[in-house]
Amino acid sequence: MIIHNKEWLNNLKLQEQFEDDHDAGCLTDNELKNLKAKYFSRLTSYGILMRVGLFVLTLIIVAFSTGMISLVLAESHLIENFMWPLILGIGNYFILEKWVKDNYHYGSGVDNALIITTAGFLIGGFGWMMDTIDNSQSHFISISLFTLAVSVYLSLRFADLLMSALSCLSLLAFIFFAWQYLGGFGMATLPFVLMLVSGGIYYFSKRLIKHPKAYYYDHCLHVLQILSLLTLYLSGNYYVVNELSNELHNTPGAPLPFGFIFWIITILLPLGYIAWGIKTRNMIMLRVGLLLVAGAVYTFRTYYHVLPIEVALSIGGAVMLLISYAVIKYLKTPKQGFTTAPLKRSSVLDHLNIESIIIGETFSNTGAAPTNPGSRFGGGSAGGGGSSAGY
Amino acid sequence: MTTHHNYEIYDELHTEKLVSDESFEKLQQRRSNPLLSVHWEVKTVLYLGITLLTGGVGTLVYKNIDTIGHQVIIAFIALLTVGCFTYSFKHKKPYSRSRVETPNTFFDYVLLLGTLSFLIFVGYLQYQYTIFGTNYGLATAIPMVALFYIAYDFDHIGILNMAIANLGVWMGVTATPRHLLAEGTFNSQSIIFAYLAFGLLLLAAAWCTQKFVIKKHFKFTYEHYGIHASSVALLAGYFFNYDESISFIWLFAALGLSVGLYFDSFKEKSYYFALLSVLYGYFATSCLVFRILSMDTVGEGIIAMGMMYMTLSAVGVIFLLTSTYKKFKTA
Repeated sequence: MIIHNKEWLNNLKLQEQFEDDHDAGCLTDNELKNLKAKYFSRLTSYGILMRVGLFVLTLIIVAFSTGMISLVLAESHLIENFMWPLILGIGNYFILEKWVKDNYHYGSGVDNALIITTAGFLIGGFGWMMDTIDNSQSHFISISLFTLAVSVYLSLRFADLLMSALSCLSLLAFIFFAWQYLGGFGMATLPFVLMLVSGGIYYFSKRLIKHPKAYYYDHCLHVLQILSLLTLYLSGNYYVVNELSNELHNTPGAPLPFGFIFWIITILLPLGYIAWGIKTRNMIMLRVGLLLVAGAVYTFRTYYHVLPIEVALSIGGAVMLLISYAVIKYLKTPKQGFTTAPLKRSSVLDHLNIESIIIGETFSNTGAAPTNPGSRFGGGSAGGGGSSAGY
Repeated sequence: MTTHHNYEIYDELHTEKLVSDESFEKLQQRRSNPLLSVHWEVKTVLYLGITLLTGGVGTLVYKNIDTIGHQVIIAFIALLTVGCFTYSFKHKKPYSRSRVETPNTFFDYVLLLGTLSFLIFVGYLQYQYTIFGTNYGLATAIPMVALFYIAYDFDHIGILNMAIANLGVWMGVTATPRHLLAEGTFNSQSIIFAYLAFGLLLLAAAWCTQKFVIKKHFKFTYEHYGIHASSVALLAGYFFNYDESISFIWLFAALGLSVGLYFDSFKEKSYYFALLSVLYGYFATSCLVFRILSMDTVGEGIIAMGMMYMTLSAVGVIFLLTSTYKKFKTA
């Protein structure tokens, strides 16, 4: 099913493992080099900045070359039909297959961009087609089902992370639109069904990841795990449920019936993630939990203004400092298999000094009030390198 | 640990002598007692904590300035600064011209907190009592010198970033690229020249770190800001003088800088800078091509020509980038 050479993929996985053991200080530089030479792989992938650059350039190529072809064919009325994007999508797909087979690209930015444009043309064309056949109603259900089919196929074929994410989201979208057809009962149970499905996706990907057949898809399944944990929380979050229910029932500002259930989920689920993540040594769950604590605080503050914002910020900041100080003290010698020592890895993050650039960005106004603490991973001028070509 | 960590393979590799006895021992230990690092998680929480705390306290002070009184606030900020620096000096390792590892993760952030409160302290004195009068050069120079001193003495790259930003402020510009683009500060020739001088100064500083072997690991930071500042300044100079023939000098200067940095990156073996120089060079070339295309000798076909140029040039840049990457890999 997967397009890439199996032997090289196996070797790539082994190389990942060797690097991981090397980072942990278990293999010497020389051993790593020899092992990588023994288990060589010609599959090409690049660092994150290079990938972003190639991704943007490929999108430029696809946009302008299809624009050029469409311009040439504009006289013939061929392009005024839903068949045109579908043809473009199929053409794109063949170029993608050929490119990957000839150049052995595996997550290089070029293949990622072509996968997205393929999916985009096909799904756009399908939506257009449904609208042409019957424009009296919307076709969310069939479009999300079609998206699911396309993205699952592309994930299986190319082990692409973004397509895995899209499959997860389109499945949830399908359930979301289909369940509403059940009327009042469907409306009332919608959050629980979405939570159930998200939990199901998490359970499924957690079980599947150990299966030998999923050997090449472990990163895809990690994406599914992260996303399903997030959607599980969002489907039960008070703010999301309240806003959505008011939107669907056309009752703006009305409080939520049985709101306390959602408040319990909103507050306790992130803490549950963290606790369970620590207990089972599951870093994905731990990180998602940490992230969602911010979501819980934000939700709470949207409805209850117990403290003025600056007092809340100061207390929150002080508590975070205390917690991290305590964790550093506690883990001075590793306990329960956890440590605060950095991995030896000279990862992209360390290499580019992302941390220091962010400090420079957020504090350079001579220590004025930071406006957006949430942009920890969003800002950073390193991304500017990619965007300068995307004008 | 990867998902399908295959420890059995090491038995075979060990007998083949590809893995030494010592490494094999370590691997067995890792297998029986795997460690997970929460390094980045703790750092993120620390960073957020400092951001929220300084932001919150700052706002609190601002809102209650009438009831608290200036002396109390200044005393508090001074106390915080002194406290943080006492801790930092006590735990600091001696200065060295090469990299100095930090004593612990917490140390970096205490130092950061101390530096921030020091900056607030100076800013507050200037705002409230105008101790430097209207001599803004002096008012920005003192924090800048202090920041450079802290960055070098404590070997803190984050504070070096702030020092560079302050250098930019001192030279009459806001140095962070975000402000530059968002506020569109390029409205006068003198600012463009100041910014260009700033960028070139940083590039010179980057060169000096290698030449005189002072904190070689600071080179990345200098060069990073240097490339962005000088390239953006040159391109801004081109657009500012768009209607005059002198604009081409700016454009060719930008192209020349990109080419020079591209070849320099080979010497430094830094793929990031090669990537940046290619992208800035590509942007400058595209400006030139579209300038020529829009000179209306081409007429009707301009849209098709433009599209053709974009497609072909993007293909060309992809091949340039991938072949450069291969050279870096094999070098």
